[in-house]
Amino acid sequence: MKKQREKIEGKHISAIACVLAVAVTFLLPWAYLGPEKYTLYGFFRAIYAAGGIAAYAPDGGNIYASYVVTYLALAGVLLVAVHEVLLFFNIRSRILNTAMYGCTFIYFTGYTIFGGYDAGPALFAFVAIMGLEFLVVLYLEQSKEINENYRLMKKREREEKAERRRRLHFPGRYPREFYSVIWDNFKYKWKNYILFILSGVFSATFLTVAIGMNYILRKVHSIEDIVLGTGMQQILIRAVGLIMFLTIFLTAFVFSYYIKSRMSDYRMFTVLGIRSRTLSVIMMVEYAGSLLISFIAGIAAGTGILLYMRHLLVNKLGTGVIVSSIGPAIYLFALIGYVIVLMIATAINYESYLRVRDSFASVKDVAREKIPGRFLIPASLLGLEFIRSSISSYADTSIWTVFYFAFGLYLAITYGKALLMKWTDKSDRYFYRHLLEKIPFYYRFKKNCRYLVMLTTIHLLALGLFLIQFCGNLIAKPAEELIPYDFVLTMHEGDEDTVAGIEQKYDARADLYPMIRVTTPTGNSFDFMATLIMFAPPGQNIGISEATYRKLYEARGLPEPSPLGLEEDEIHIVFQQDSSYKVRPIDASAGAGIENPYLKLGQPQGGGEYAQWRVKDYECKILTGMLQRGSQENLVVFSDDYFNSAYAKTEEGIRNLCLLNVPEEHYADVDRELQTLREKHIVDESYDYDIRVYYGSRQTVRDIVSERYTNEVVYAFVILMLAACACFLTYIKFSFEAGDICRRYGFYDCMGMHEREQMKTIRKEMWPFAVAPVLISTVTAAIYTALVFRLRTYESSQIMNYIKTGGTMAAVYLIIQAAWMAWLVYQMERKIKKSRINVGRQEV
Amino acid sequence: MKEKIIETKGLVHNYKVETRQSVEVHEIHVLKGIDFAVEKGEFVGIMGKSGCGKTTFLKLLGMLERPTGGTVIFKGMDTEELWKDELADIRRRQIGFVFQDFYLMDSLSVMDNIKLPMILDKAEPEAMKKKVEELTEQFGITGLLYKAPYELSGGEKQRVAICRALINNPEVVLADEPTGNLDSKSGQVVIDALCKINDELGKTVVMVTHDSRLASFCKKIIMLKDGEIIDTIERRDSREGFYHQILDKTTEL
Repeated sequence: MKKQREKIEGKHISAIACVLAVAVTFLLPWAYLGPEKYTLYGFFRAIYAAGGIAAYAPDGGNIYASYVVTYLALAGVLLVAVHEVLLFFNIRSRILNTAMYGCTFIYFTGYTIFGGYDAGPALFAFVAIMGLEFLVVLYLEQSKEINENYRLMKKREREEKAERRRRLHFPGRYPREFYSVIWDNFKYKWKNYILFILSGVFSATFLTVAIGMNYILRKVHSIEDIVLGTGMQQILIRAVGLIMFLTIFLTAFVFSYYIKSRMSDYRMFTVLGIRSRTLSVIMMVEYAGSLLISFIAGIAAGTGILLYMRHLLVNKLGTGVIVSSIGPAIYLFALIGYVIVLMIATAINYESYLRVRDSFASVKDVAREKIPGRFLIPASLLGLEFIRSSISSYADTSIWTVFYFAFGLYLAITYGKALLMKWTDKSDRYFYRHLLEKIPFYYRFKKNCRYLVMLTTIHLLALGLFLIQFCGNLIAKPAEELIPYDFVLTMHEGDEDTVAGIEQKYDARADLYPMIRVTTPTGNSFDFMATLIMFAPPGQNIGISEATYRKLYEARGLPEPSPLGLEEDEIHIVFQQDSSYKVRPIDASAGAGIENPYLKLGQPQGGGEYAQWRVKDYECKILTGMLQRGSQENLVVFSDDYFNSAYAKTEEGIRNLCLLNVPEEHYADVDRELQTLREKHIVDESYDYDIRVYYGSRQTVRDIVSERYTNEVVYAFVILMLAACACFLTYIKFSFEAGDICRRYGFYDCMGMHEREQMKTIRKEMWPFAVAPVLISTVTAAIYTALVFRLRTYESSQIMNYIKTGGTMAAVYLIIQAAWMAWLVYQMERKIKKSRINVGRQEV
Repeated sequence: MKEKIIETKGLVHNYKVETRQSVEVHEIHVLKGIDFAVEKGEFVGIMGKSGCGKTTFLKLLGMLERPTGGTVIFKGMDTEELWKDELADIRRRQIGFVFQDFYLMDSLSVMDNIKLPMILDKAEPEAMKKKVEELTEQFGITGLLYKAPYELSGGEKQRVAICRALINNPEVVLADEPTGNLDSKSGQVVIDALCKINDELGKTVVMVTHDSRLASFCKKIIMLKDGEIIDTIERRDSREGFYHQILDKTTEL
């Protein structure tokens, strides 16, 4: 009935629209024929009055065509009439409808094309009315149906909900005994809770410290370029990223063990018929409570560490730099970070959470984890390829390289181990001989592989990334040696007078050398991430002749360099940096590399074309000063002939390099005086705010010192954190597995296995989990270190220095790991011995 | 005709197992379409060789696992149609479980273990106390109430588990090899308890066992072989005669 009413409503609308369309078409005078205006009816009448179309328009042309298409309009009118009649009898024909629209539409289009008049407004009005009619009818016919379905669905849902509520009605309150049961159960497993809480404390502490360091050091550095990947903030941001990554995996790992340990209790509740919501609340309270305690404890511990680090920094850097106070923003961001970590860790273990509440899933918990059986060789090879390419593409201090490596390692370990097991297990003799020590892999393959990958990655981050950074700082030359001149100026024509005035007034000594600004299309101080989000500014370096290069050597009191022997198209580069950075190409454009940079003589704002040059040789030496951490303001040495001719052609822009030394008491005065030059040539700084008209040694030294010290503090903290993280991870693994292991060895005992054999087996079972990650990471870290020596062009004395410092620290790190594992093995042996059958004569 | 408490129609259950190298996954057909019914007040034994699907069948009857096919009907209700919490309610109020491994919580005292289903049912403390006293007296474990489960012997543990199974006054008790971990003396105590539950309390008992002597205490035995019911034996004369009848059948298996 209702449907019928809707149909009728739709037809009425349709009829009204048709009437309107007809009225618009016929009754309004749209047709302009010369000076006259006609309706459609008027047009035919005028033709008839004139005695036919031939008489009306003896010249023919478009009027003929218009006249022909007018018959379509007539057809349209007839169709409309039929349509209206049918509608009256509640019949709606879609074909008729379409034909009616078609005829009238073609009529108008034809008239517009052929007619000598403007039918545009009529056309649009008609199309609009028809379109509207179509949509209204469609809406009335279909949306009501949809709405009705929706309404029925909602009604059904409501009824189902009410029925469900009725069926699941469970009134009353749980008795006091309920809470005491939950509490007793909680107390009984307190060790698991402690470990669980401790993992949260670790995460919260690390995040608080990392974010807090970022916060308190944000104002220390004068040249800060977060996006371009330089400066302390960048170091700290990377540290935060790394810490987030580690805490996610650490937390996820602990969660997985924790859930397993709680599974039997929750399952028992489920079998005995606990309501799912009650179980969820219990789990939620346990979970949220533990995590809240963790966060509070972590915040407290993190604040303590931060206060100590701040104390160290303030003492070391003095009052000249601003070390901010610890503020609430740190806790807010730490909380956000912590929540993100928990969410991801929870999501990783989501399936296990669901399983806890599912009484049907008992088999899945005890079922052994699947060992990959397919694509073993290709996946292992792919993993090895990832490892190989991460090593070969190792760019100094790149965290991505390590993650790339970790992914390769995951594939190689998971599939490689499965492949190895497949091969070795073919021999029954081998299989049964090593079965006992390999049981962890047969039973919990995936979990153990993930553990190996994670532990290896942690060791690699410590030894192959942060230790390299840390040692690079330790063995670097003192900052004062890297900035030999009080001021380094890039001068324009006419600035000589200012410098001469300063020389005279402040008893200063200025050495002027001819130079040309050498610009590269893309500066090298950005990293991959920066290219994704912003435009990288051009690189700016100092172009000098070989003669100047020799003079600079002499001025620094260095032994005379060998002749460079440069051809016209060759250059020599002097990278001015310390040993904590790798040598980076002066041009980061695609295809340039360190050997073939694109160069333009002149400033970025000037004209000229970039051309590719050949670097004959390069060296790391401080001749004018480490002004931009070796990323810019390096020396590009040309042959004398080429430089002289190019210099002669350069009339504008930077012309001279000035190295200025002033008495200490006048440093501030000269700095002030040089401000006038800066203001005069401020356009030189406009292309890259790192580039300065002049560089003062005090600020630069302070920047270097503060950056290095921050590096040392941060890297030391991160290395310590990684060491602790590795120890904690191992502890977690074996603490949670201790029960199972003891039960298994108790069984071996029952089967008559000798104690000595048991101890041998447990050692064989546990040690590989420490040795394999250490071995893989140490070898990889050694390769990374060797690559760093090459990338940073270390001299043999520096290498020796590095090996002494880094080697000692790595040895300490490894000894800690080994000692920790030895202690864990010892503890496990004790537990196994305790659970042995206590009969017979005791060994002394 | 007595009321059917549990009924199964075409019950099918499959497991997936992997080989040592996990290359191939095999599907094991544990139950192959079982039609079965337990009437109110019956004491039914399920027998068969190891691996024939006895425990799986019991788990499906107790709604602890979801069947691959077919249905379990509990007191006329198709369990597939019930909400998860409704199944929980049935398990809590109408079914008592007795497991071979006891499944007592070491974190709780014996008294709390017994009370647990009532606690989860929001019962009044006085009612719980009364019921615990009543049951522990019946099963002779009054002196164990404040002990921890790990301090008990196997027979004591199983009696605690039986008390826990009965605390909510269920219609059915499902027992999975209840004497499997016990010596013959303790086993006898447990089987006496189960008989008492059936005879005196009028509860329906479904027990999985492979022990013919134990099975002779049942009133009806169904024999499972390779996931199918191959025979049903009903006790008509003396227990001794029934025992020999079962023995003959198990020998045939």
